[in-house]
Amino acid sequence: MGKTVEYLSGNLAILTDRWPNVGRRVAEAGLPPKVAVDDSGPQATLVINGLHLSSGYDRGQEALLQAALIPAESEEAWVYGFGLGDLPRALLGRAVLKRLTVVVLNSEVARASCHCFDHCDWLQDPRVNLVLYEQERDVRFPFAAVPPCLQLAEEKAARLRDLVFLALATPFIRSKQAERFELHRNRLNENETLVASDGDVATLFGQFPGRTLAVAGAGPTLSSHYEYLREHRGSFCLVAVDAALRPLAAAGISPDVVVSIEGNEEGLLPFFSAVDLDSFEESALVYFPIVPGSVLTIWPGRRLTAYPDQPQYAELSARYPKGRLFSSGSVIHPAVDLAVKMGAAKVLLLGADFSFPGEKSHVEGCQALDSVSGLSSRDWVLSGRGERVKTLPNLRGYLRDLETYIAANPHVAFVNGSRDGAKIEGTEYLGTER
Amino acid sequence: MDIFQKCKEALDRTVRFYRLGMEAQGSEDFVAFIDALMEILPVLPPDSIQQTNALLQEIVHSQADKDYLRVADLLAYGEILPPIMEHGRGG
Repeated sequence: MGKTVEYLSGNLAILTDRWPNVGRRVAEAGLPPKVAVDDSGPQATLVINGLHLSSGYDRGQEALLQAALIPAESEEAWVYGFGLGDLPRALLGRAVLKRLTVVVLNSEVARASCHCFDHCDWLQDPRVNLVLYEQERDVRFPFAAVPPCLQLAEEKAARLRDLVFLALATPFIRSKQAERFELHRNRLNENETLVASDGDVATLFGQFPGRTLAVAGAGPTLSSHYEYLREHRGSFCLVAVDAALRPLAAAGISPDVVVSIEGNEEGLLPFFSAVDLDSFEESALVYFPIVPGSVLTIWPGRRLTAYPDQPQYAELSARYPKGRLFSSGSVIHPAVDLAVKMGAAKVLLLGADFSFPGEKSHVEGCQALDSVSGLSSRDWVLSGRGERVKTLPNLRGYLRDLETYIAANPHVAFVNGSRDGAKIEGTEYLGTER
Repeated sequence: MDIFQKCKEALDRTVRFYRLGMEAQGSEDFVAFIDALMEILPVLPPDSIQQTNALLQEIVHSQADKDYLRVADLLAYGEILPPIMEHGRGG
């Protein structure tokens, strides 16, 4: 760490006095591995593990921009990340604000900041409440965040970190989904005849009451379950995502149902065209009407239409009412929802990794398989073994959406087949279920 | 909109979204900024190209390391835009 005035004792005295649990945690914390004050710009800032905690040019202006996420008339607000105190200061400048809760996501980062910068002014404001991440289970609104503090969140704060990032990204994700839909809007007209004559996914609902259903994703760990699947194949219904079709076929495993929801023909068609589909005559294809006709028409078995809960499908679903499936960006979501709606008392999640165990993007044999060794290690989730495993921000979003879905379905037991992929909250592990 | 204006707007959006923690949106605009810049670079005077390239190297390095607030600072205050806009105005 560079030459600094020592502010720690003054800051800690207030922390300990006002929030003893936070004060104790920060006092006991070590410093992050790499801490430096960057005073090369007009304003000093802190660099922790290679990440600047604020602007080095105009910290106040940056904080005002971040604070603008909170409506001007809000009397209450949440801030995620301790940062250098600029964001709380910007919000406390609002006379209308009555209560500000600042969530500490990493006590080592807070300690480093308390060591190098004076926080006494905002910490003494009676409107401020300081809490540790474990006191906050879900994201509170309205909020603003100090982005690098999210990136530097402690491992146990990873879920909250992801929920905050997801909330920040949601408007963009929705706009991209709408953009993609517009790109393939004609599909709904092109597929109308098929939708009219195909079956209804709702005919599957309730068909396996109280049973175990397995859902095969296309994550790298799927291949570790082939033997289990072959041995127990007769004892449960298997729902697979489209990307898992080829690897499963190569392992001699036929799913009962395949789920497909994507509109991108170039990406989707290889999942089907590279497989000998003759062996899937007994399998049903459940699809959203955006799936290209070139995929639908080569399917040898029965086809069942489903709709996501999206306004773009309102017109078509009014003309041809069919069952609905939960959809939040990944095909694993409707596949899991289908298993639940089919009546599952227990859902086995196989190859639902939301990460890249073994530095692989997908299971062997999947056309989308790619090496991820070049990816940044800054994006990670904790595996079932408690280790960091590389991922991408969108996969973390899918994971957290699935966890929210699982929490909303407490009558179903969800079992994760592997500890190598992301730990999925609300699941037990295969072989350890109660 | 001309390419110079497009470049400036993509830069402004990148800075804004990175400061807000909206990584995906910021990165999409960052790509749009780089694309626009690549179109502009060949028409800049040699000394401006050299200056822009040096700065660009640091920006790309920070972006790859996900040090987004540093990227925002380099874009907003790193003097990458003035020679570009000056040339755009026919300077």
